[in-house]
Amino acid sequence: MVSARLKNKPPRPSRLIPFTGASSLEIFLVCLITMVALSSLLVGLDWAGYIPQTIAFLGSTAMVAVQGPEPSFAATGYIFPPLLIYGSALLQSPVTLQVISGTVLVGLVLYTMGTVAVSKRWRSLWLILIFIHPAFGLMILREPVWIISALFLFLVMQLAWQILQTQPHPDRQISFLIVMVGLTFSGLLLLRFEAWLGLIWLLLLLWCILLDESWQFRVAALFVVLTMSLFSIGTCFYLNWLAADDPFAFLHLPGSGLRLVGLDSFWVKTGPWETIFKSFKEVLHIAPIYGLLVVLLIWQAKFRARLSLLLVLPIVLLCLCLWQGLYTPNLSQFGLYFALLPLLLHNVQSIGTTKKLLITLGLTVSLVSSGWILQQNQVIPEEALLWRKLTRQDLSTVQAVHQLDQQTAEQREIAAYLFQARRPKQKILMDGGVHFPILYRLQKTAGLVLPHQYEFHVAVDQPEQWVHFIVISGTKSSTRNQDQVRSLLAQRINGDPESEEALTLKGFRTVFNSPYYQVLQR
Amino acid sequence: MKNRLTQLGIFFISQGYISAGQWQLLQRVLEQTLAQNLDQLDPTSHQQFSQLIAQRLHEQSISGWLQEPEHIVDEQLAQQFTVQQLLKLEIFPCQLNLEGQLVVAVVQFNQSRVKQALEAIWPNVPLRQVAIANHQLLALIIGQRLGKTAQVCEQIRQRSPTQPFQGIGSPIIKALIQSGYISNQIYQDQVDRQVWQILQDQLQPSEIREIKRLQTLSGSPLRDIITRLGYLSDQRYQTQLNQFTKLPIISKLVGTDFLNVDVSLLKNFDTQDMMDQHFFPLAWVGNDVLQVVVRNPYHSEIESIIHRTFPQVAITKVLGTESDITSLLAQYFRKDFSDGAIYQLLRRAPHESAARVFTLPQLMVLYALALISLWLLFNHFWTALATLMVILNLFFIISIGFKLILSIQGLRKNRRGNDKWKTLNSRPKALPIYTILVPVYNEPEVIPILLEALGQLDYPHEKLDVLLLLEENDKATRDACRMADPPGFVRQIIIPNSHPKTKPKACNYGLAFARGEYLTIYDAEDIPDPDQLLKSVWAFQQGPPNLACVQAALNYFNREENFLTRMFTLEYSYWFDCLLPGLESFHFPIPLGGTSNHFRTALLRQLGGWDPFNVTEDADLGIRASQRGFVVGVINSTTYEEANCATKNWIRQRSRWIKGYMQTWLVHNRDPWRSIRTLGIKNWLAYQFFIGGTIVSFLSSPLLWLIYFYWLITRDTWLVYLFPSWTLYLSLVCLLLGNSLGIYLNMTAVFRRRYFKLLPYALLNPIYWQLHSMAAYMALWQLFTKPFYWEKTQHGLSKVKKQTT
Repeated sequence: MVSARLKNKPPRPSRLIPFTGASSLEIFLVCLITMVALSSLLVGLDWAGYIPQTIAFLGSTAMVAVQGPEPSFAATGYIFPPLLIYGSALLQSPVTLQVISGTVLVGLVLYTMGTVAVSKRWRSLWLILIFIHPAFGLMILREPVWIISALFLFLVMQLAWQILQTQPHPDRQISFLIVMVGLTFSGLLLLRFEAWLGLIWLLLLLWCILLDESWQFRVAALFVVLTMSLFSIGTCFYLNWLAADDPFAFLHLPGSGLRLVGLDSFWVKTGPWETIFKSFKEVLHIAPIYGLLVVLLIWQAKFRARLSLLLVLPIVLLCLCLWQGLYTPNLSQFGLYFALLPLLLHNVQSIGTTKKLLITLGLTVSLVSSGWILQQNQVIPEEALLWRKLTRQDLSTVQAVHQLDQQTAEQREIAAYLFQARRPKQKILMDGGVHFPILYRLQKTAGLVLPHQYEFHVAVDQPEQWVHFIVISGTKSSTRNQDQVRSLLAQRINGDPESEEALTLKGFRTVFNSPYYQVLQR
Repeated sequence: MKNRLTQLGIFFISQGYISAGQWQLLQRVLEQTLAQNLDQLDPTSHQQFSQLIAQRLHEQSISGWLQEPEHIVDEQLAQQFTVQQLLKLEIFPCQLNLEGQLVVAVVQFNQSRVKQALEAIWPNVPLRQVAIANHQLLALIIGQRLGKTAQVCEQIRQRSPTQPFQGIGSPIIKALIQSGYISNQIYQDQVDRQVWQILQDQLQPSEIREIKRLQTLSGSPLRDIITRLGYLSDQRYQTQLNQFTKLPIISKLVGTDFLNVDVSLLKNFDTQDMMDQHFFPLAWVGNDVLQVVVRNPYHSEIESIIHRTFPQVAITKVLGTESDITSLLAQYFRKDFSDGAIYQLLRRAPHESAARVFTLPQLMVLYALALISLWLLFNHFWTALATLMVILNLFFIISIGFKLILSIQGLRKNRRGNDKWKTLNSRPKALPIYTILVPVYNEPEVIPILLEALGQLDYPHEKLDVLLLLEENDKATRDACRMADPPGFVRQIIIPNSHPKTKPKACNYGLAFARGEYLTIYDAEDIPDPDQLLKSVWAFQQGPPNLACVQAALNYFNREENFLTRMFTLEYSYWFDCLLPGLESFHFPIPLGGTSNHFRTALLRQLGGWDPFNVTEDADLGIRASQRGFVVGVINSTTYEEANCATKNWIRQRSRWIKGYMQTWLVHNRDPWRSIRTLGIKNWLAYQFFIGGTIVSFLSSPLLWLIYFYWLITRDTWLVYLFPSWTLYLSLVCLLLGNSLGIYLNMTAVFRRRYFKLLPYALLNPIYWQLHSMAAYMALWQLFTKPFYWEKTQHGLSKVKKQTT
């Protein structure tokens, strides 16, 4: 049957990405320049007082993991995503991780764009439109999780595409590609929760792509792909069981899955149908170019249904993100779609003038649309803050942005104070899961008493004997109720863990007091 | 004379021996030397040559002359001469005919001394010369003295050759060959054509057609096609050749005391030349006459070789089969070969031989490390243990990363396999002789299956040179071999009984008899892919000149027999399909597998063969090749073996392998600076991780698992001292990522081979790895107690019937 069909339809020549677009030296130079530029930009932002929340969270967690206090493992073992935390710990800084991963992504985008069959001018124009797109820029500047997710997703899609395009499948090639899909997707599972359910979509996709193969081969292929993914999931369960005696601890603990404390009011969770509608709406709103290219590719494709399954994979992940309540209105997340654009463009056949103009128009519309969203502050305050700082706009006009800026300034002030005032062997009591920006800015973990430590409850019960500084959320802070130190102290002092009054402790004086933070010193 | 020479020239040109231009160039030389050349005619072809010359000169040969009823030899005429005179003059007076002519049979025409001698007896009688060959002359003289001239004449008349003269063996032709005017191939073709005429009666028409087809296809010598493919045995062919050449056959004397062999003569010749060219010098049979056993009496290279050592010497030939020459070599060079098989490497490069397990500096380092460890344990107990953990974990992490990169690269590389090697099928003339060494010991039952598997190799069988390496004291296997009646391309080599009784020694011994340009080794129970030799030749032809070896993949035919065979298949698939191609693509040293490694024979000899003191001589050879600047590669072909299905047997086998790895690691770390210089730092590091890493992994893995399980059960807090700070994360990465990737990569290889049923078994790898560790500790023990002991793997335990593919 297969051979008969093949006789009728000669196989289309494979259009695998030829890795000959640029010389090694060119790639190295581009990556070097990107690395230097990205490092300078991030250091500049740091000096300007801006530290992305994700970076602060990863940095503080990794710092505790490496430097203690003991048992440091308990502080990190159950935090998701482990890949980023381990990576940050290994590289000593999440910024380094961000720079390296950002450089690789930019290099990959540049390189793949080099293989698109249009003139250099068009390629350069499209590259500029991608790089200046706020979603891509914000992702590179503040979200290592999306940068690495984009890298993994890029590879998964490219590999799956190769499987789809290589018809009939030469035996050795297809097995290599399937193995690599399994390996790459398992990495994604250690980054994003939604990828766990996305795994089902991937399996469905592979089953359809491999329809020409025997059912035994298809089952085996799914088994192979599933194995590494199950190892990844098992790793999370195991680490949680080790650290917290609860394999599912990472599902509900604060901060886990990068559901950072303080962003509670921004999390969006929708029902199944609304999820699909909202996902498509968001993509078309922020990245209409992606939608345009998907339509173009499906229209020209041989295996339309299978290609559609592949191309909507990022949108499926977005749906799952929304459905699981892991979505906040932000542009960084959509940077991923722009990172995937070169891959899509590479596969567009015979790009004539009409298509060129259409693609340019799509990119421009995406740019304008996203800019408008940012300008209208339809994103989380952190992105709006960064946007306004980068574009030197007035911060006070938007209350949420202004508040965040104020909070950031206070975090810096508190960290600086603690750094100067704390003497050796003096201890600081705080909830690291809530006050991670301060912890990260402090850049020291010596003398900290954190909730995961054995002496934490003793320290909360008898702070006058155990600790010298206490950092808690202020009376107006949105994290007030999640701050374990504040809740326990409020319970002890006022009998109400959710007390809205500023706390006073015998033997302690308030050295810093604001609506967002309160620092007590013995 | 001038006219006759021209006629001769026309004949040579018409027969295609030379071109007209070449003949012109030669004429000046030939004009002066023709008579001398005729004098020196090789007696084996003199009859035909003299007949031709006679025809060309419008004369007759004796046999032609005898065809006429009125031509009768008059016995009385010869009685005018003594026997000595007749022999010296090389004449035989035959008849005074009706025309008043004296008919004289002469070996050489127009000799003045002959004319003078005849003139003295029969003055003024005109002469008519007819050509006679030396042996005919001798027969006539003896017949005349015995009074049986008539019978001799009848024999000469009846045996008159009807085929046209081919000029084989004549000094002229030899001169033409040596001058490059006639290719050796044309010469051989002519020999074949003559023999072919004789053999046609012996074969069926269908066989003749097939042989002709094969000869056209492969360009192999006719004899090789006929004998190696079993149309005629080498002995029968020899008999036919004997009828044609009249050379004596030696076969019945080989191995007996009746053969006169001048042992002192042998040292003047290279045994490899003797084996390659199929000759064996026997003795001097007179002043300047050397008697030589030859398989092909017309092979001019033999005379060239002999004349290089003994210029001007006359050669008298006797016929022997390939087996006779092999037996003679084995008989008279037994001690040399056996000695060389054991000590050659040790003598040539003692630093590369594992005969010495530890060198003094190595022992000193070992003791120093032991002392430092003890001091640390007594003074900084926890720090010492924590440091050990850090080192082990770091090592594991790097090792995992290294293997991941190798595997991905190996998988990628292998997918680019192409079918270009198939072009060799259409031009078998490009295929050289291929030697296959098959060491067999106490395995009589596998011989028929082995021969069947070898017979299925897709390679011109006449170009196969299979050497069955049988141990002298293994009568059962030798008998089984005899009973199996191996095909003509198989030779049986008996390995003298000596120690160490190891496979590498047997292979080294066999190497001395190898005739192939390429050489490979198969175990007795191996079933190679039929296309393997072709793929290997293709790889060598496409590869660089310093490509010394290509390794084929090994896998198992009884993979689904039990847990052990399944795990073994998973492991082998990963090793040969992922890791080795990965190593190759990075140009790292490749530890060769036990069998199916294909060599350029010349380079293998340069390397000194295998180290008989190393129990993984193959792995050692791969590293040694890299150290000497040779390249080792892999080919996409598989040999199926019998997986060890019994646990004890498996552990014994594995302990030998790991002990061999230890030996290899020690040998190539005797002088690390030298190794770094010769291998390069990249290759040296790869070698440390691949060979050394394997040993360390197996030895340390149970220790880490023990600690892990102890902690899991007890949750003792003191373990925190072993894993301070980030050491814990490191070991967690090792535990989770290391094992996951180990299992996953293991799975990928069988997935690619489409052994789907084995996929779930990859999850059981951590259990299987513990068996490795058991074997590793056994190997470590044996390294100190009996380093050269060869744990023989028992084959034939599988209940799965072997099927050749």
